[in-house]
Amino acid sequence: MYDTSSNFLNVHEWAYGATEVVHILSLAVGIGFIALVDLRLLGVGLARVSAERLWKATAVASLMGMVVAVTTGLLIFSTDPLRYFEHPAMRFKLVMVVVALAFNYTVHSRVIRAGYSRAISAGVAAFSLVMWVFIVFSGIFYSFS
Amino acid sequence: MTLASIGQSIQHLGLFTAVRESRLVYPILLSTHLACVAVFGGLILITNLRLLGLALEDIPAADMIRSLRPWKQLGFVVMATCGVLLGASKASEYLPNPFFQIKMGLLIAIGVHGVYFRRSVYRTREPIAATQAHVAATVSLILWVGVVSMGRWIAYYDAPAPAQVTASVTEPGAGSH
Repeated sequence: MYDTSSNFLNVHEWAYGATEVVHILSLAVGIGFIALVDLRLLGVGLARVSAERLWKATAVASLMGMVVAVTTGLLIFSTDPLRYFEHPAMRFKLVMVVVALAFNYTVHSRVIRAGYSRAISAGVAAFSLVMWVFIVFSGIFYSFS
Repeated sequence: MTLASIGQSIQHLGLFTAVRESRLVYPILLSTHLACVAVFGGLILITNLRLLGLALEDIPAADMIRSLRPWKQLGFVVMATCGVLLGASKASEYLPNPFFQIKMGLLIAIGVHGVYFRRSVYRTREPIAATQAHVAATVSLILWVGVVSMGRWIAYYDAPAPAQVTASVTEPGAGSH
Protein backbone atom coordinates (compact mmCIF):
# COMPACT_ATOMS: atom_id res chain seq x y z
CA MET A 1 0.00 0.00 0.00
CA TYR A 2 1.35 3.42 -0.96
CA ASP A 3 2.10 5.52 2.13
CA THR A 4 1.67 9.22 1.28
CA SER A 5 3.29 10.33 4.57
CA SER A 6 6.71 9.36 3.21
CA ASN A 7 6.22 11.33 -0.03
CA PHE A 8 9.02 13.90 -0.31
CA LEU A 9 6.55 16.73 -1.03
CA ASN A 10 4.54 15.84 2.08
CA VAL A 11 7.65 15.71 4.26
CA HIS A 12 9.02 19.06 3.05
CA GLU A 13 6.49 21.87 2.69
CA TRP A 14 9.03 24.01 0.77
CA ALA A 15 9.31 21.23 -1.83
CA TYR A 16 5.51 21.16 -2.28
CA GLY A 17 5.47 24.95 -2.73
CA ALA A 18 8.43 24.90 -5.11
CA THR A 19 6.75 22.18 -7.20
CA GLU A 20 3.58 24.29 -7.41
CA VAL A 21 5.60 27.33 -8.51
CA VAL A 22 7.34 25.31 -11.26
CA HIS A 23 3.92 23.86 -12.26
CA ILE A 24 2.45 27.35 -12.72
CA LEU A 25 5.52 28.76 -14.52
CA SER A 26 5.69 25.79 -16.91
CA LEU A 27 1.93 26.09 -17.55
CA ALA A 28 2.49 29.74 -18.44
CA VAL A 29 5.12 28.65 -21.01
CA GLY A 30 3.16 25.68 -22.37
CA ILE A 31 -0.28 27.27 -22.52
CA GLY A 32 1.13 30.74 -23.21
CA PHE A 33 2.73 29.70 -26.49
CA ILE A 34 -0.33 27.70 -27.58
CA ALA A 35 -2.49 30.73 -26.76
CA LEU A 36 -0.13 32.96 -28.75
CA VAL A 37 -0.81 30.84 -31.85
CA ASP A 38 -4.55 30.67 -31.04
CA LEU A 39 -4.76 34.45 -30.70
CA ARG A 40 -3.00 34.79 -34.07
CA LEU A 41 -5.57 32.42 -35.66
CA LEU A 42 -8.25 34.69 -34.18
CA GLY A 43 -6.59 37.70 -35.81
CA VAL A 44 -5.03 39.04 -32.62
CA GLY A 45 -1.41 40.05 -32.20
CA LEU A 46 1.37 39.48 -34.70
CA ALA A 47 -0.42 40.12 -38.00
CA ARG A 48 2.74 39.95 -40.12
CA VAL A 49 3.75 36.51 -38.84
CA SER A 50 1.71 33.51 -39.99
CA ALA A 51 0.22 31.15 -37.41
CA GLU A 52 2.30 28.33 -38.88
CA ARG A 53 5.49 30.37 -38.45
CA LEU A 54 4.58 31.19 -34.85
CA TRP A 55 3.76 27.53 -34.18
CA LYS A 56 7.16 26.43 -35.53
CA ALA A 57 8.99 29.12 -33.54
CA THR A 58 7.34 28.14 -30.24
CA ALA A 59 6.50 24.43 -30.57
CA VAL A 60 9.62 23.10 -28.82
CA ALA A 61 9.39 25.55 -25.91
CA SER A 62 5.66 24.87 -25.60
CA LEU A 63 6.25 21.11 -25.54
CA MET A 64 8.97 21.51 -22.90
CA GLY A 65 6.60 23.62 -20.81
CA MET A 66 3.89 20.97 -21.11
CA VAL A 67 6.27 18.12 -20.18
CA VAL A 68 7.39 19.99 -17.04
CA ALA A 69 3.79 20.98 -16.19
CA VAL A 70 2.53 17.39 -16.51
CA THR A 71 5.51 16.03 -14.54
CA THR A 72 5.09 18.51 -11.68
CA GLY A 73 1.32 17.96 -11.81
CA LEU A 74 1.85 14.22 -11.34
CA LEU A 75 4.26 14.90 -8.45
CA ILE A 76 1.60 17.03 -6.75
CA PHE A 77 -1.03 14.36 -7.51
CA SER A 78 1.20 11.73 -5.85
CA THR A 79 0.98 13.54 -2.48
CA ASP A 80 -2.61 12.35 -2.05
CA PRO A 81 -3.77 10.42 -5.13
CA LEU A 82 -7.04 9.12 -3.69
CA ARG A 83 -8.24 12.56 -2.56
CA TYR A 84 -7.31 14.09 -5.91
CA PHE A 85 -8.85 11.31 -7.97
CA GLU A 86 -12.14 11.30 -6.05
CA HIS A 87 -12.69 15.03 -6.50
CA PRO A 88 -14.98 15.92 -9.47
CA ALA A 89 -13.09 19.14 -10.33
CA MET A 90 -9.77 17.27 -10.44
CA ARG A 91 -11.26 14.42 -12.51
CA PHE A 92 -12.58 17.01 -14.93
CA LYS A 93 -9.14 18.64 -15.07
CA LEU A 94 -7.37 15.33 -15.72
CA VAL A 95 -9.77 14.42 -18.55
CA MET A 96 -9.50 17.92 -20.03
CA VAL A 97 -5.68 17.84 -19.96
CA VAL A 98 -5.65 14.57 -21.92
CA VAL A 99 -8.26 15.87 -24.40
CA ALA A 100 -6.54 19.27 -24.80
CA LEU A 101 -3.09 17.75 -25.35
CA ALA A 102 -4.47 15.25 -27.88
CA PHE A 103 -6.38 18.05 -29.64
CA ASN A 104 -3.30 20.29 -29.63
CA TYR A 105 -1.01 17.77 -31.30
CA THR A 106 -3.57 16.46 -33.83
CA VAL A 107 -6.43 18.73 -34.99
CA HIS A 108 -4.85 21.99 -33.80
CA SER A 109 -1.44 21.49 -35.41
CA ARG A 110 -3.03 20.11 -38.61
CA VAL A 111 -5.28 23.15 -39.01
CA ILE A 112 -2.32 25.49 -38.43
CA ARG A 113 -0.12 23.75 -41.01
CA ALA A 114 -2.75 23.01 -43.64
CA GLY A 115 -4.16 26.54 -43.72
CA TYR A 116 -7.90 25.92 -43.45
CA SER A 117 -10.51 28.65 -43.95
CA ARG A 118 -10.52 31.56 -41.53
CA ALA A 119 -13.76 30.39 -39.90
CA ILE A 120 -12.47 26.87 -39.23
CA SER A 121 -9.12 28.19 -37.96
CA ALA A 122 -10.87 30.66 -35.64
CA GLY A 123 -13.22 27.94 -34.36
CA VAL A 124 -10.34 25.57 -33.61
CA ALA A 125 -8.39 28.36 -31.89
CA ALA A 126 -11.37 29.39 -29.76
CA PHE A 127 -12.04 25.76 -28.77
CA SER A 128 -8.37 25.31 -27.84
CA LEU A 129 -8.32 28.50 -25.74
CA VAL A 130 -11.55 27.58 -23.93
CA MET A 131 -10.19 24.12 -23.05
CA TRP A 132 -6.97 25.52 -21.55
CA VAL A 133 -8.86 28.18 -19.59
CA PHE A 134 -11.20 25.47 -18.24
CA ILE A 135 -8.15 23.48 -17.13
CA VAL A 136 -6.86 26.47 -15.15
CA PHE A 137 -10.33 27.05 -13.64
CA SER A 138 -10.78 23.40 -12.63
CA GLY A 139 -7.39 23.41 -10.86
CA ILE A 140 -8.40 26.45 -8.80
CA PHE A 141 -11.95 25.21 -8.12
CA TYR A 142 -10.47 21.98 -6.78
CA SER A 143 -8.77 24.05 -4.04
CA PHE A 144 -11.99 25.78 -3.07
CA SER A 145 -14.38 22.85 -2.76
CA MET B 1 -1.73 51.38 13.16
CA THR B 2 -0.50 48.07 11.73
CA LEU B 3 -0.67 46.78 8.17
CA ALA B 4 -3.17 44.17 9.37
CA SER B 5 -5.48 46.82 10.83
CA ILE B 6 -5.23 48.93 7.64
CA GLY B 7 -6.09 45.74 5.77
CA GLN B 8 -9.12 45.19 8.02
CA SER B 9 -10.40 48.67 7.12
CA ILE B 10 -9.96 47.98 3.40
CA GLN B 11 -11.52 44.53 3.33
CA HIS B 12 -14.60 45.69 5.24
CA LEU B 13 -15.64 47.94 2.34
CA GLY B 14 -18.84 46.59 0.79
CA LEU B 15 -17.44 45.39 -2.55
CA PHE B 16 -14.52 43.54 -0.98
CA THR B 17 -16.71 41.97 1.71
CA ALA B 18 -19.02 40.69 -1.04
CA VAL B 19 -16.07 39.18 -2.96
CA ARG B 20 -14.70 37.50 0.16
CA GLU B 21 -18.03 36.08 1.25
CA SER B 22 -19.12 34.79 -2.15
CA ARG B 23 -18.53 31.09 -2.69
CA LEU B 24 -18.14 31.59 -6.43
CA VAL B 25 -16.77 35.08 -7.06
CA TYR B 26 -13.45 34.64 -5.23
CA PRO B 27 -12.43 31.40 -7.02
CA ILE B 28 -13.66 32.80 -10.37
CA LEU B 29 -11.49 35.91 -9.89
CA LEU B 30 -8.51 33.78 -8.85
CA SER B 31 -8.99 31.45 -11.86
CA THR B 32 -9.24 34.43 -14.22
CA HIS B 33 -6.13 35.98 -12.63
CA LEU B 34 -4.19 32.76 -13.23
CA ALA B 35 -5.67 32.17 -16.71
CA CYS B 36 -4.38 35.64 -17.66
CA VAL B 37 -0.90 34.59 -16.50
CA ALA B 38 -1.14 31.50 -18.71
CA VAL B 39 -2.74 33.08 -21.80
CA PHE B 40 -1.02 36.47 -21.86
CA GLY B 41 2.27 35.08 -20.53
CA GLY B 42 2.92 33.90 -24.09
CA LEU B 43 2.86 37.50 -25.34
CA ILE B 44 5.48 38.55 -22.78
CA LEU B 45 7.58 35.46 -23.44
CA ILE B 46 7.69 35.80 -27.22
CA THR B 47 8.64 39.50 -26.91
CA ASN B 48 11.49 38.67 -24.57
CA LEU B 49 12.68 35.76 -26.70
CA ARG B 50 12.72 38.09 -29.73
CA LEU B 51 14.68 40.74 -27.78
CA LEU B 52 17.16 38.02 -26.78
CA GLY B 53 17.48 37.00 -30.44
CA LEU B 54 16.12 33.51 -29.77
CA ALA B 55 12.93 33.61 -31.90
CA LEU B 56 11.55 35.24 -35.07
CA GLU B 57 14.79 37.14 -35.66
CA ASP B 58 13.67 38.40 -39.08
CA ILE B 59 10.77 40.31 -37.51
CA PRO B 60 11.88 43.74 -36.24
CA ALA B 61 11.57 43.73 -32.44
CA ALA B 62 10.04 47.23 -32.48
CA ASP B 63 7.25 45.99 -34.81
CA MET B 64 6.55 43.01 -32.57
CA ILE B 65 6.43 45.17 -29.44
CA ARG B 66 4.08 47.65 -31.13
CA SER B 67 1.65 45.05 -32.45
CA LEU B 68 1.46 43.09 -29.19
CA ARG B 69 1.25 46.13 -26.89
CA PRO B 70 -2.58 46.61 -26.85
CA TRP B 71 -3.17 42.90 -26.14
CA LYS B 72 -0.57 42.86 -23.36
CA GLN B 73 -2.21 45.96 -21.89
CA LEU B 74 -5.66 44.33 -22.09
CA GLY B 75 -4.34 41.17 -20.38
CA PHE B 76 -2.63 43.24 -17.69
CA VAL B 77 -5.78 45.26 -16.97
CA VAL B 78 -7.88 42.08 -16.53
CA MET B 79 -5.14 40.43 -14.45
CA ALA B 80 -4.60 43.51 -12.26
CA THR B 81 -8.36 44.09 -11.77
CA CYS B 82 -8.79 40.53 -10.54
CA GLY B 83 -5.64 40.88 -8.41
CA VAL B 84 -6.84 44.08 -6.74
CA LEU B 85 -10.25 42.56 -5.95
CA LEU B 86 -8.60 39.40 -4.56
CA GLY B 87 -5.98 41.29 -2.54
CA ALA B 88 -8.35 43.91 -1.14
CA SER B 89 -10.96 41.34 -0.11
CA LYS B 90 -8.42 39.67 2.20
CA ALA B 91 -6.21 42.72 2.79
CA SER B 92 -5.63 42.00 6.49
CA GLU B 93 -3.95 38.72 5.51
CA TYR B 94 -2.15 39.99 2.43
CA LEU B 95 -0.69 43.35 3.52
CA PRO B 96 1.48 41.91 6.35
CA ASN B 97 2.46 38.89 4.21
CA PRO B 98 6.16 39.29 3.19
CA PHE B 99 5.65 37.32 -0.05
CA PHE B 100 2.78 39.66 -1.02
CA GLN B 101 5.01 42.65 -0.21
CA ILE B 102 7.81 41.23 -2.39
CA LYS B 103 5.28 40.60 -5.19
CA MET B 104 4.11 44.22 -5.02
CA GLY B 105 7.74 45.39 -4.99
CA LEU B 106 8.46 43.31 -8.10
CA LEU B 107 5.37 44.75 -9.87
CA ILE B 108 6.65 48.27 -9.10
CA ALA B 109 10.06 47.19 -10.44
CA ILE B 110 8.34 46.02 -13.67
CA GLY B 111 6.84 49.50 -14.00
CA VAL B 112 10.23 51.15 -13.40
CA HIS B 113 11.79 48.74 -15.90
CA GLY B 114 9.23 49.76 -18.53
CA VAL B 115 9.93 53.45 -17.97
CA TYR B 116 13.72 52.98 -17.92
CA PHE B 117 13.77 51.11 -21.24
CA ARG B 118 10.93 53.13 -22.79
CA ARG B 119 13.03 55.20 -25.18
CA SER B 120 15.72 52.65 -25.96
CA VAL B 121 13.58 49.49 -26.33
CA TYR B 122 9.81 49.65 -25.83
CA ARG B 123 8.78 52.84 -27.68
CA THR B 124 11.53 53.30 -30.22
CA ARG B 125 10.96 53.09 -33.99
CA GLU B 126 14.70 52.70 -34.56
CA PRO B 127 16.52 49.36 -34.58
CA ILE B 128 17.08 48.34 -30.94
CA ALA B 129 20.69 48.00 -29.74
CA ALA B 130 21.44 44.35 -28.93
CA THR B 131 22.86 45.04 -25.48
CA GLN B 132 19.86 47.13 -24.43
CA ALA B 133 17.48 44.49 -25.82
CA HIS B 134 19.23 41.66 -23.99
CA VAL B 135 19.32 43.51 -20.65
CA ALA B 136 15.67 44.60 -20.93
CA ALA B 137 14.48 41.07 -21.79
CA THR B 138 16.56 39.37 -19.08
CA VAL B 139 15.38 41.78 -16.39
CA SER B 140 11.76 41.43 -17.60
CA LEU B 141 11.92 37.61 -17.45
CA ILE B 142 13.48 37.62 -13.96
CA LEU B 143 10.88 40.08 -12.64
CA TRP B 144 7.88 38.19 -14.12
CA VAL B 145 9.14 34.82 -12.85
CA GLY B 146 9.54 36.48 -9.45
CA VAL B 147 5.99 37.89 -9.53
CA VAL B 148 4.43 34.51 -10.40
CA SER B 149 6.58 32.67 -7.84
CA MET B 150 5.83 35.09 -5.00
CA GLY B 151 2.13 34.97 -5.93
CA ARG B 152 2.05 31.23 -5.27
CA TRP B 153 4.23 31.54 -2.18
CA ILE B 154 1.76 33.96 -0.53
CA ALA B 155 -0.30 30.93 0.49
CA TYR B 156 2.61 29.43 2.43
CA TYR B 157 3.12 32.27 4.90
CA ASP B 158 2.10 31.41 8.46
CA ALA B 159 1.23 34.76 9.99
CA PRO B 160 1.78 35.24 13.73
CA ALA B 161 -1.62 35.78 15.37
CA PRO B 162 -1.63 38.98 17.45
CA ALA B 163 -4.40 39.19 20.04
CA GLN B 164 -6.25 42.16 18.52
CA VAL B 165 -6.16 41.02 14.92
CA THR B 166 -8.51 38.34 13.70
CA ALA B 167 -6.57 37.59 10.52
CA SER B 168 -6.69 33.92 9.69
CA VAL B 169 -3.80 31.99 8.21
CA THR B 170 -4.20 31.20 4.53
CA GLU B 171 -4.39 27.49 3.84
CA PRO B 172 -1.78 26.15 1.41
CA GLY B 173 -3.54 25.17 -1.79
CA ALA B 174 -6.37 27.63 -1.31
CA GLY B 175 -4.43 30.85 -1.47
CA SER B 176 -3.91 33.58 -4.00
CA HIS B 177 -1.52 33.88 -6.92
